Amino acid sequence: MAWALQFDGVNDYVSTSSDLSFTTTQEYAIEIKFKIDLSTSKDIHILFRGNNTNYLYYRVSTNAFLWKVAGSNVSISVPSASVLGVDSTIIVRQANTGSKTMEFVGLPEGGPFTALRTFLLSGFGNGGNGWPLDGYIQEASVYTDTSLITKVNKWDATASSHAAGTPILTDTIGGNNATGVNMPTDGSAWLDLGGGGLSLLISEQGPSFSESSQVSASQKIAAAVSVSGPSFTESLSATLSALPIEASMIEQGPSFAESYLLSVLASTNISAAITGQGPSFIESSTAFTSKNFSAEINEQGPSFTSQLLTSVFKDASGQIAEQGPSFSENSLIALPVKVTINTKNIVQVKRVSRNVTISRATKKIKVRSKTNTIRIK
Amino acid sequence: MAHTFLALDMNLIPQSTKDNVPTFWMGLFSNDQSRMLIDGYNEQGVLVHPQATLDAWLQWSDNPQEIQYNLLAEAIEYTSSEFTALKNDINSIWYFDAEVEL
Repeated sequence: MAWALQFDGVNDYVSTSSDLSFTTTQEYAIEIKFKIDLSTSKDIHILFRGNNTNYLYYRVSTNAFLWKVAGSNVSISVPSASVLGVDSTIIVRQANTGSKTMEFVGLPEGGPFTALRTFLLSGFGNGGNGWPLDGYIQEASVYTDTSLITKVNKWDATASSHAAGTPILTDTIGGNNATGVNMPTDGSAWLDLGGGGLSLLISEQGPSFSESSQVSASQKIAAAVSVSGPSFTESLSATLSALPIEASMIEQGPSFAESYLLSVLASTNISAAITGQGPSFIESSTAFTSKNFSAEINEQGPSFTSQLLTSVFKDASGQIAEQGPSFSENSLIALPVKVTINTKNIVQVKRVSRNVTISRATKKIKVRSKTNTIRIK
Repeated sequence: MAHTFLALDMNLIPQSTKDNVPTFWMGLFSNDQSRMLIDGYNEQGVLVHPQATLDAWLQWSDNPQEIQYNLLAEAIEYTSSEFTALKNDINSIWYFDAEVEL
């Protein structure tokens, strides 16, 4: 999960505990990840500064970044459409010769210019009656080389405390924290950018095991689960309030019992690929979602029992392949709108249960088959 | 995060606050030093500074509640666009010539 520190474009800025002074022939680089608001009415946005003659800004009216070092400067042209409302990164560099360049990541470098002057860095954004940043900063870093290898300062909004109080942009490497000035102190200066999510890779093996997993998250979950063993019992429950679930599960064993419950509260997607293999297994899957449910289920075994319950409010798309001398299955899909089910072309099974229930808000049910043949015995 | 701004009357801010709050003079002041601009109310009408922040600001005063009441009651509230207009108005105490280098 990523966070950013917001600047209101009026009086917000952050000030480092100690000023950094880069000498005339010191090799260094400063990198800043930021975004300027798409709807900003401000013209000049300071990203970082030292004093009145040391700063870096973007100016909307000239479509250019300008890095000023004690009176001398270099600028690069970047259209405002590429900057406003866009997560961006800009890097300034000085080689040990004093040669300076500036790079808007994704575009060619600007410069070099070779003013042999000391650059000062004392904070980010700019308050007072100057040129305040209207946007946010995610991260800023200082390197002792132009190749971005040795990082000595990292002001990281994600790693900072987001609690109420004066915002402190934490320097996780150099300890030179930057204190927010004129910012809200109720915690609203911090912006949760989402993303990141939870990524799981689980591999389980054993003659016998019993497992229960529960995941509750507001971000994307991506999981790859592989389970094998002569015998196991597994229960998986995931509850999300936003963003998708993507899962890939492979289960193998002479015998296993399994239960899935997926409950998605917000508009989002579930995408699952499930493979079950074994001489015998029992499986129960339940999914509740308000939007899209997409599943590819492949079950193989001499004998298995499977129960699938899906309740969605929008689109459900499923591809199910089942093979075995014998299996019992119960599938229930409740959906008020469109249903599309593509089964594998050939399914030859003996069914213990003959129950297939489809509940719809309307009374019309359409079944389409690419082979134009639907056989029901 | 759209919030308003409050221009506080400098005469109502205790001298002890001016002397002891480390970041006080890093704030934004009008050209005649009669007003100080702080962040105001969010979209729900709640001050974006919790009571703990106000208490810390006025901790050296004998009557912090009364001072706080007067400060907020006498403050002039601006939206972001209203304040920007003032910065561009040469007759405003908040005027700033954007073409002048820092």
